[in-house]
Amino acid sequence: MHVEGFKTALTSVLNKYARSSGGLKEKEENLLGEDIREGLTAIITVKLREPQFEGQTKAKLGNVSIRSFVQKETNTKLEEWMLENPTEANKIVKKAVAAAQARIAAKNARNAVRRKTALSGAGMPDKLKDCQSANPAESELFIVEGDSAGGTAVDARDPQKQAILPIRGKILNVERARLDKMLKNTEVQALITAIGGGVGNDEFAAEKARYHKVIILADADVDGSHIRTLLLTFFYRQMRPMVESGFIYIAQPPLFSTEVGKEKKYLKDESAKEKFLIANPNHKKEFQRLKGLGEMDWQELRSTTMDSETRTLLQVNVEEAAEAENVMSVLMGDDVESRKAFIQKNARDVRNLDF
Amino acid sequence: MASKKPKKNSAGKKSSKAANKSTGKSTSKNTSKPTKKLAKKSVPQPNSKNVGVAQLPLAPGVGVQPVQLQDEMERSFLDYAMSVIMSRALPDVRDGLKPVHRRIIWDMHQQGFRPDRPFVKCARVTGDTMARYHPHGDGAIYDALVRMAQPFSLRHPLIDFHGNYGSPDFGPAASRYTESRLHPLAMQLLADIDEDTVDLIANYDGTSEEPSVLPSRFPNLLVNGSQGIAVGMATSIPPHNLGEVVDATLHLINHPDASVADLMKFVKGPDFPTGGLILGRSGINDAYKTGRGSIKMRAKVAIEEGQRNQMRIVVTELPYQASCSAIAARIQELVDGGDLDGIADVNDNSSGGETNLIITLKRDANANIVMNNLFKLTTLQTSFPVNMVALVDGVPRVINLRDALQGYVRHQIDVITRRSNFRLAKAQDRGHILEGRLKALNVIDEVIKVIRGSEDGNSAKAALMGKQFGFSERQAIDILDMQLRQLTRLSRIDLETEQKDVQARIKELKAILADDKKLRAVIAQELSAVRETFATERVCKITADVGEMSIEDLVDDKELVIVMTQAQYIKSVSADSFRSQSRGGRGVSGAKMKDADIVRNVIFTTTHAYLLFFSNRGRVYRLRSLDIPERDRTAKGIPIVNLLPLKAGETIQAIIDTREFPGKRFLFFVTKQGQVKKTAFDEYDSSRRDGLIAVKLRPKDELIRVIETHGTHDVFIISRDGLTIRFSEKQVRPMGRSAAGVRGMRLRSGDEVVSMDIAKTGASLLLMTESGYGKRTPLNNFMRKGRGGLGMIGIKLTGKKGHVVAAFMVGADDEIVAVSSAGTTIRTPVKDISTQGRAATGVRVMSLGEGQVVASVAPILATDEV
Repeated sequence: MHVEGFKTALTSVLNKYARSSGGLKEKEENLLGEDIREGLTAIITVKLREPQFEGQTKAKLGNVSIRSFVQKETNTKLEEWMLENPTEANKIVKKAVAAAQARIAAKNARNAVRRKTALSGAGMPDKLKDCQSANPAESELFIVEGDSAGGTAVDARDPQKQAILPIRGKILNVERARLDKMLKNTEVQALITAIGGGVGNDEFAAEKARYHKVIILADADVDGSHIRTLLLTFFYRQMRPMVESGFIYIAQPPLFSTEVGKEKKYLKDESAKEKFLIANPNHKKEFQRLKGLGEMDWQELRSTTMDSETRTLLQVNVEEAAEAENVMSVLMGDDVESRKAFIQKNARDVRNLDF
Repeated sequence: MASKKPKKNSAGKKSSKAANKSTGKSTSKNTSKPTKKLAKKSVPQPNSKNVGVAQLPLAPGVGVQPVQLQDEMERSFLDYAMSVIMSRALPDVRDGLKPVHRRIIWDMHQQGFRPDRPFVKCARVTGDTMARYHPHGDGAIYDALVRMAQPFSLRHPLIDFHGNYGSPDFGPAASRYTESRLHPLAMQLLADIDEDTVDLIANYDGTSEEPSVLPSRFPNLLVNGSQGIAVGMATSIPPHNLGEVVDATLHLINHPDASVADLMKFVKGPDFPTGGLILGRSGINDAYKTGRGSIKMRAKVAIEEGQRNQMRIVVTELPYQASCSAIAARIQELVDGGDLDGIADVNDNSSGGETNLIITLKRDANANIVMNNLFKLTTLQTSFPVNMVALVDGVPRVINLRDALQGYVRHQIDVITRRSNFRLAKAQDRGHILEGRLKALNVIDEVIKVIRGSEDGNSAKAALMGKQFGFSERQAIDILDMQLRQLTRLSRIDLETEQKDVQARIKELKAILADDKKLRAVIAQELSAVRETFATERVCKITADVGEMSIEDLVDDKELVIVMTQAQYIKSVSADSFRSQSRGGRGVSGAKMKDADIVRNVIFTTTHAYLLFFSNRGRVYRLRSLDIPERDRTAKGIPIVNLLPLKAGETIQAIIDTREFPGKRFLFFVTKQGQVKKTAFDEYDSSRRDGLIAVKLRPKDELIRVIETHGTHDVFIISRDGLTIRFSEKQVRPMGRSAAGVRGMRLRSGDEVVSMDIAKTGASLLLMTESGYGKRTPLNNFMRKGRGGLGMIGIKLTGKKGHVVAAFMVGADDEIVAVSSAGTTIRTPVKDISTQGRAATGVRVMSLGEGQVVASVAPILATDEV
């Protein structure tokens, strides 16, 4: 009982102090007792008449009155002490806040690792269209930009091995977002859950990943490029083992289309276009620059981009971690000036400008 | 695009490079291009044996190529960043439009949604713009359309709108409800666009054309401003008054060397469409000279007397982009949070496009103070961050006022030159035809004869072009198409007049093209015409900056009582509550305190006053009264260590109010080892918050007390062993702030100073010992001696009575409070403590238990004496 009283008082005093001193922001949740008690050794000794114990081992004091007494005394004295020693008090708050953050991160990581059960897709994000195969080595996860292309991709897939996860809009830039904010983001949650290897470079287990091919399928326009950078940042920062194992791929939807007779023909890139022109010197029809995956029918998307027999994937790998590190922080980090410098220096290398 | 062969080469180069890639930045540039072109080479790279790839599971055969993370990142990012910078977020310096705005205006122009036509549903505009020119979300297009119609966003709207275009508080109605058409001013942006004035480029899918820039007959960039966030850069250009900007442009046209300062004679500053005030010119100067600055804006407010004599603050104009309901909500939040006093009610009575926010004040509130707080805490005062970034020749640049206007003038020169060339070519063509006709009329009989003799049209044409006449093909065709009515005499005269006109026109156009001055005159004339039609008076007033608001502007100066206890807890209490509680004539009572704590210092002061805090380590700290948390009379207060940077073991021994009082003021110090020092008060008036040396102390010495004196008092110093010395403070000459002082009392070994006080008329000296004995002794029992002596006996101490714990002056009506080491407190009127001689031993004032001693004693002075 006396321990209970002490715990209650400790938690309430610390929370109260943390709020008033600004250690806890208005919007943040209260610290839990376990956050505060982490690493704490406390001796609580009480003297009272007629002690009653719970159980034979006398492990626990049973007098109810002592709980409120200890609680009240701890409340006053501890609060006094914290007010009179602000330096030490702030250190304690900081430690407790760090413990709370760690707890939340760990919880999220645990939630994320929940595995696929016999009931298909239980615990999986609603948006995920999973594949039948449970063998990671042959399973592929397509991360598709936008819901409008998601539907086509579902039709175009091979349901045996290919899973589809549509991501709406632009996901969070994890280079700049705090961990807890990142984990609150539903798109990020869906990604973590679907991949299933956990989150955080230290905790991520590539062997638990549910797919050995995670394929980024973004539109061929500049916003698609942006989404690609955001996803790559996420994988590199939070699932680096996936990148290092070579599990991350980029799909290459065709860039051009043209008409031959009544047939629509897709051409993967500039060189394919040139080859086509050499082969068909009399071709007069316009070439259209494709903008979005939604422009294609599912048959077209399958044959050009997703069918493992005919497609071409880019496999992302990191030869020089230091360089990748540097690029990440320059392009996605907080330092606007160095990003600006990068843009100015490389402005001429731009591949395709969008309108 | 490069041809096929070099590509293979570069691909090969790349793969070998990947194997032995060293360091260096060159890689990103070299690898970025070939990777994609590698695409068709589906042969797996034999030499990709770097660490990362070595552990890879074998990728299923077909179509997998490696790509470096950083290369893909750089390339994709660059595509995105450059696109956003070049064709999304930044305006062009020439027409001040971002692509989305330009496309909307162009599309409406193409579809004929002009000012003289009926309104059309906005959905048609956004839908068509999206389909033909702007392959992005329709929401973004509609937002852009609506913004161009909002008179609170643009100083001179470009879209004429029918329906709800929203307000700073509410969004617009959906595009299926609202209607729009081009505003007459937008037609000025489009003026002469059909006369080859600007380049037309293919739209995104090559099915139609769009202008790369609009001809812009007025400087829209400055007039309507622009705001946007790109990648690695952003822009923020405030709106301006059309008349002022045109005047500046005219000046620049006529004086190409004009400086920013010259142009600022015309452009006084931004003209925010919502009105309000701009505070000060320094932000404007920065912005116009460097392209960057911060412009302080303030709402237009008035203090009025409302119903039942209640004062109220009425807001009639808001700063740019501020929202009335957001401000009302913020005020509510501040009042609820206790951060803003004096407000009884907030009402948003805006209607009919007029802002009207009424803030009703409480009766006792100071309207000016509340208003200043509102300026500080809400967006009733805010600033517009100027960062003038625009695309100049397709490249983002930070521009100043002159660059902006220069970019516009250069564009106009280009536009008018192109237009003149276009018109000249047209006139010359017409002249050529007229020349042919007139020539034909001169020899009409021969012409008719030749035509009649021709087999068919072609041979007639050939004959006319033959040696006999020498018509050009164009003329020949025209002659063959001529109607017979042209042969009348009147027609001939018409032709001759027209020919004359055309020739004059050609001459004029040639002159314009040949003479820069004439060209500039044309621009000036057309600009002036726009100014004539569209310019309106400035709506935003520029006033002097009142400067940073000081605390005096924000907090009412009211009377406070500062209370500090022995345990170093401090609080401030409103003097009102204090007085009403102590009507009985007795001071501080009922305050909740820590066990065994008593009030040590009570200071009557005001909110704005500075207080000096002297610590036992001889340091002095300064705080304003308002920095001490105001609490209830009964509250405990907070430990002072939360307010001052005190070290462990450092305690506050004295608090001095620094408000200006008449007369010469000194501070008189005494230390544990008997040193005293007198220093002019002014020396401490600049004390910093993190502390200054107040008196230099010897090792192990401590500051005991500081008292404010007027230079003529008698000083009493009392030691632990009961010795007391009285001397005139005139014997201590004033010294500097950090001086160590002189000897005030010589102490026997083991003895130390306990207290010091100054003589007051009618007072007696009260002494208390550790064991609870005390007495009062009239001051005349103590003779004035020289400073530095041993003093005389002040109280006779026998073994069991212990040492002196406290000594101070008391009046006959005062009370004292004493606390024991066990935490028990007693309170006694001074009357009850007997008056005895110097050498007497005193009477029992406080009964103590076994092993207990008196911890401290403090006076409670009758309030009328304080």
